[in-house]
Amino acid sequence: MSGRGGAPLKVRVRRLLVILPWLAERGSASLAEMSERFQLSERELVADLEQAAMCGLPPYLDELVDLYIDDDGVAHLGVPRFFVRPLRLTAPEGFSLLTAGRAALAMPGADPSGPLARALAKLEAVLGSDGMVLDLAQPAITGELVAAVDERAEVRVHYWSASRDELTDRCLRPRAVFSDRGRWYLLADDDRSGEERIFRIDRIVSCERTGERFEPRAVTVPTGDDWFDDLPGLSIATLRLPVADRWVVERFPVRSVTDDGDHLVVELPVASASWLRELLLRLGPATTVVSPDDWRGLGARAAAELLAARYAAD
Amino acid sequence: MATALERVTNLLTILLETRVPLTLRQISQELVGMYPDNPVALRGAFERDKAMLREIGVPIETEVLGGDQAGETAYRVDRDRYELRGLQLDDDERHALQLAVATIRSDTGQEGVWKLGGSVLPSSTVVANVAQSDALPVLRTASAARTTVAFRYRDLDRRLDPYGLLLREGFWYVIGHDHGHGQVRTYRVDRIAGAVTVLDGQGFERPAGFDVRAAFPADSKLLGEADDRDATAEVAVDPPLAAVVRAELGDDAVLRAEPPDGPAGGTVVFRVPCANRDAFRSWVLGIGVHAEVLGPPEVRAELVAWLRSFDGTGTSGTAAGGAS
Repeated sequence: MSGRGGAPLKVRVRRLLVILPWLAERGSASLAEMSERFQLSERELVADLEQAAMCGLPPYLDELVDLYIDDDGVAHLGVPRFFVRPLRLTAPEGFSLLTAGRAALAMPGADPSGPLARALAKLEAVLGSDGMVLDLAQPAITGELVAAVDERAEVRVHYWSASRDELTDRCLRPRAVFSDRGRWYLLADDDRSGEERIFRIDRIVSCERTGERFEPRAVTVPTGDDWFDDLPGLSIATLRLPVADRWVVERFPVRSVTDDGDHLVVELPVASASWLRELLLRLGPATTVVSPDDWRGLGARAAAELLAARYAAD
Repeated sequence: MATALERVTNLLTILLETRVPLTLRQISQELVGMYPDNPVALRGAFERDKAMLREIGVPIETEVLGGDQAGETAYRVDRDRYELRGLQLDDDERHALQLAVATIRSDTGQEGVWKLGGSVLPSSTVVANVAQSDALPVLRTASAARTTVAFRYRDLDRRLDPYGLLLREGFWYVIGHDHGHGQVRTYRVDRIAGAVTVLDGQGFERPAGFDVRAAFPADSKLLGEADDRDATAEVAVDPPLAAVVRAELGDDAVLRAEPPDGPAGGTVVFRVPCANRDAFRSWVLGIGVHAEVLGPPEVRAELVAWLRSFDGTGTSGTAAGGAS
């Protein structure tokens, strides 16, 4: 592997095959613009361009990539014989563009006949009609919250707090709306805790604007398996569950999973005992809590309480 | 000695330039001094470069020669297949796609946007984390090309004509005609074991007007093999959770509502699909002590039996895994 650019050869080749056609179409561009656009340092960029300029084979030694970088940091590229057009979209790239486009088209407020829909139609003409559908069904209130984020409008909500098992009344400054594993969430500054918090949108019962506006602030929208970890008061429970209940691992972020044949042993971040009670009720008696000790038998206690409260006469 | 980047770029150039496929011997003669002289080392280095170019999407074609070069393999890249063509996006269309990529997280979306001449915008205020996997692009391409695929699922080898893909409630499903079963089947993509193989040359026709949404039950509580898709249960939900459930199920699901006796309103009775008992039970238990199944009697009895099975006597009759 050639070490000068730092990045692996595959990344550098792929990048070069994108940069050359882009530059060829324009003729020249500043290194600063290119490094920002293609997300690499100017040093890496110059290293790759210099090597591209050295490419050439007899008998067209000078023709292949006619490229030079002037003293003002501007790269110039003569019309090349090759790499005039970008490489076709790979299957993963095509998939990503189509899913992104279709997901965006399914968002609240999307224009079904606007530029995005036209772009998607053109993409489909090139990539083939695939019968792929993204169903990102949102709770009805989602559109209102997206608008509040965009317009930086403070809202007052009634929110069902599962950990407290009560309806709470709070003032929020909505920062971002996101979906993860099929659920929609609101990231907002919360007046009750004075902190940034994540709220499940399907648990927001009502929402109205207070009339207050707030200043924008950059936020990081969580992704992947780790965002759950940021919640305050998080505990870790170890559960032993039948392999048939693997959906737990797929549905919730987990710390670890080990498979002992018939059962999975799962370390699960738990934000509240009431959430774990519900999960254990759903899983049934074949699932046991290994640790912590406090939560052993929690499922059986929850089932007994529910029977006594609701089905005592049955 | 040329650098690796130069060597690969030059290799790609001669493969694009040539009208007739080139053997490795011809390639090494063209690329003077770029590959090792030792034949074994030459073959190894070339195979690595070829694999890398294919990985990034370069369509390298191979051909086994006849005549006086009989048995030798020759290589070329068809420029028509290499280049991205036929996609003329207007500025606003390109911008809309850039915005869309900012709402979905993936490594490959950015590369695609670059190829279309755009740049990636900062993350938007609405973001969808959509599950990704190696199988999904393969299945999408096969679905678009109407090519049969093979994969392993629940310890069985399946052959499927993939009619379409559906993302629902955070999971991807592939829906199509299953050769083994002779009927339309749905598979969870993340439960496919190993790689999906595309059976090149085995084509199929998608039924006219096929819609993956229609082929898939609308509500997970309807999922399953149950004959009685219309089965419903009556579920009473106490305030204030009644309002949460009402927002989820919609006003049409409200059977009756007791008069509000406080700011949070009164108890509401909902009509809830229950054809898939596992999913139904999971849903109603998710509401905990705030919900009660009123009927029909057999559905209520099933729930009571489930709760009693926790009592430690080990007589659980229905410990099978439920849907989430």
